[in-house]
Formats: sequence, structure tokens, C-alpha cells
Amino acid sequence: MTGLNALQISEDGFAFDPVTGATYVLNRCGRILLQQLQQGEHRSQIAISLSEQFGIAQSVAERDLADFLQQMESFGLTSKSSLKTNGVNA
Amino acid sequence: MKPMTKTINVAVTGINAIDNPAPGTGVARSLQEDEQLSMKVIGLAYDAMETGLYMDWLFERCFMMPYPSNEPEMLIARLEKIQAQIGIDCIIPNFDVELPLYIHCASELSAMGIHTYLPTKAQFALRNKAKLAEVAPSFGLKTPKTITVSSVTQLQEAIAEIHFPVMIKGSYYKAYRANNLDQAIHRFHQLAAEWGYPIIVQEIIHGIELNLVGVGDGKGEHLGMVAIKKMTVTEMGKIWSGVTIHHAGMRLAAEAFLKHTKWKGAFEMECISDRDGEIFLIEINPRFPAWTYFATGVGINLPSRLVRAALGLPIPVRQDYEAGKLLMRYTYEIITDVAPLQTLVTLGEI
Repeated sequence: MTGLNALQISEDGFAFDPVTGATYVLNRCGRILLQQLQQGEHRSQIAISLSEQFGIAQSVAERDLADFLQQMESFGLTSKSSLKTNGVNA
Repeated sequence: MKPMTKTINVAVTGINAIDNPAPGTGVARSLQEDEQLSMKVIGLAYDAMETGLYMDWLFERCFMMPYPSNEPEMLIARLEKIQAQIGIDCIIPNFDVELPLYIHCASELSAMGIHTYLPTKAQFALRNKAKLAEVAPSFGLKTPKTITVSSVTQLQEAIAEIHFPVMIKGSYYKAYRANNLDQAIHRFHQLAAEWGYPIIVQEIIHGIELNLVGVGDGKGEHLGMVAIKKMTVTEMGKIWSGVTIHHAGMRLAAEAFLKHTKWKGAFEMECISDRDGEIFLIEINPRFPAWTYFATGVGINLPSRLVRAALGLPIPVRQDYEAGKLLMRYTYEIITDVAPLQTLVTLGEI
């Protein structure tokens, strides 16, 4: 199981990686985003969903999503290749 | 499983629970928590200030012991005396330095009715810090570049090959990071004075530090294993908080070690998983770690399983535990009379 898929995310935004023991604190937006990534949703779908839920422009949602993915990669939770496998182009 | 009625006396060494804690108090606490066995734990100490000597809720009786650097006859003579006085069914040595002595005396102890559950001399030598880099590839594990040295010249040569920063390690205990030659030479002399030669110079691998405690059954399998990640550590790298994990690579590494060595007894495996998920074996300690009670707390009571195996008693089948359980260590004080100290110093027992 990859780092992304293994993450256990609580309703209040606490994420625990049972493989490495790492913990993360997510805001509401981050939690929703991570859950959607775990479900294998496409990047464009996630950006539309964020834009609708938080009332922001789709371009802003896309930029925030790109930042988030970059941060996940820096934590070793995912790689560009694994995101492509999930149908998301980082 | 029905509770056993006979009381089992288990002697435990390494009962100094200080900022660099020995494993004995965690082992004793684990033994006390086996609800099916009636166990009395006997503390064995080398110094009257070892904190476990004052923890009367853990240790039924305590005895002072001759230093493990002494002749085996002294150990046997002391244990014979204790055996005659209170009876010991099983003994769990918890210090690296005393293990060769206990392994050497295992058959004599057995003849006295004291059971052990220890590796053989050959198995013990396989995981020697200075030799580990040589043997680990034979069971499919990588180690950081490691060079053993016995002089400052050799130290400089090793550093020239490995490059800074490096870890400078004692042959039994302690490890320090050195960023320059002054630091490396200072640690070299410090560790040599404390633990003797050789000193180990090791490459630093960046990644997640993972630890695993287990008990090998001497046939290539185990009686239980628990893996953790240290979340916070003391200046000496000792765990202060941690979390249980399920790391497949770490588990496979431990299984490979057990299959190859047919290790018998407690062990702690220290690994680093780098960014690519590759596992590097850092150390295998031939005993329970000081955080052994963590495994007990999540349902895998390894000290109790070891005693059961040593005495030929049934062992619980449960091997699973939850990932995401926390350990939080804390400090505590005992206020007591000077009488126990006085008794220990004058009579050598309490």
C-alpha cells in the first residue's frame, strides 16, 4: 500500500501513516482533498469540487491543489508517477 | 487458557530506570501483567543506586551482583546463593555486556534449575556491531558503510572514506554524530574509555528510523514482534514518545534475520527506511530494549512469552497489534526511607 492510500484520516483532519508512523494535521480543505485523492479522483474533478465547495475560482483551486500535491511529494507520500496512476497529473 | 497456580520466580537484570534506561523495569512490569501466570520478579543490580531496587511494586526481592567483567565462577556462586535462598526458575539478562557471560554459563545455570532463553555464542557474534555490515548482506539486508577502528589514524582513514557527517559508535553502547574531526576524535576517546575498542565509524543514512522488538524461537521463527517509530527522543537517542506501525519492509528484514541466524531470545532491530523505502539495518541488539513494555501495552507481552518458552509453557497465539498506539514516557519520583539503601549497601540484598 502506498503512503497516500495507507493514510488514516480522521473526521477532524488528523492523518496517521501506519507504515511510517508519521502524523499530519489537515484543515478542512486538505482533508477533503486527500480523501478525494485516496478515492482516485482526477485532478480536474478535484479542482471543480473544491471550487464549488469553497466558492473560489477554479484557477485558484487548481493552484492550491498543485501546491498541496507538491507538499505531499516532499513528505514522500506520493510521487508524480503514482499520481498519474491514480489518474492525477501533478 | 487457565491460570497456573505455581508461582514462578523470574530474575531480571538491568533495573536502572534513569534517563538512559535499562530494559529491566519494563521487562518486570510486563511479567507482572501476565494474568495467567503467577510470577514474582527478582531484581538483580550492580549498584545500590539502581532505581529498580526501590520499586517494590515491581520487584519482590532484589540482590546485588558481581560485575559481569568478573569470572563466571563469581556469577555462579552468587546465583547459587540466591537460588538456595529464594529459588529462581528463569533469568532474563538485559545488558549487552553481561550476555556473553550468561551464554557461557547457560548449561551450568540449567543444571541449577535456572532456565534461560538465550542465543548461542555463534548467534550472538553474528549481530556484533562491528561484524554486522559483513553478515547482513548474507540475509539480504543493506547496512550503512561501516568501518571499525582502534586508533586515531584508523579513525581519520575511515572518515576520509565515509566523509562527514558520520556516526561514532561504542562497541556495546552509545552513538554520537560527528560533523568534524575534532568532534570525531573527542567521541573516539570518550567511547574507548567507556566501552573499550573497537570503535565503529558509520555512514549516516537519511530517512525514517524504525525499531522492532521480538523474540526468536531458535528455529528461525518468532514468538511475536512489534514495530514502532520513535516520535521524540532524548539527547542520547532514547525514546520519549513513539507510535506503533505496520511496516512490511521492517518485518521482512526481521524475518530474514531470524531465518538466517536462527536467533533464540529477545532482540531489538534498528533500521532506517530511506526515501525510496529501502531498508538499511543499523543495529541488532541482543536483548529487550528499554521500551519493551510498549509491546506489552499493545497486547504482545514478549517477556512473558520468553519465560513461557524457557519453561516449556504454552504461548499465546496472538501476534497482531494495532498501528497508531502511542507510548509517552514520563518522569516520576519515589520518596522513601534511607533504610533500603543502607540494607543494600551492607547486606547486598533487600
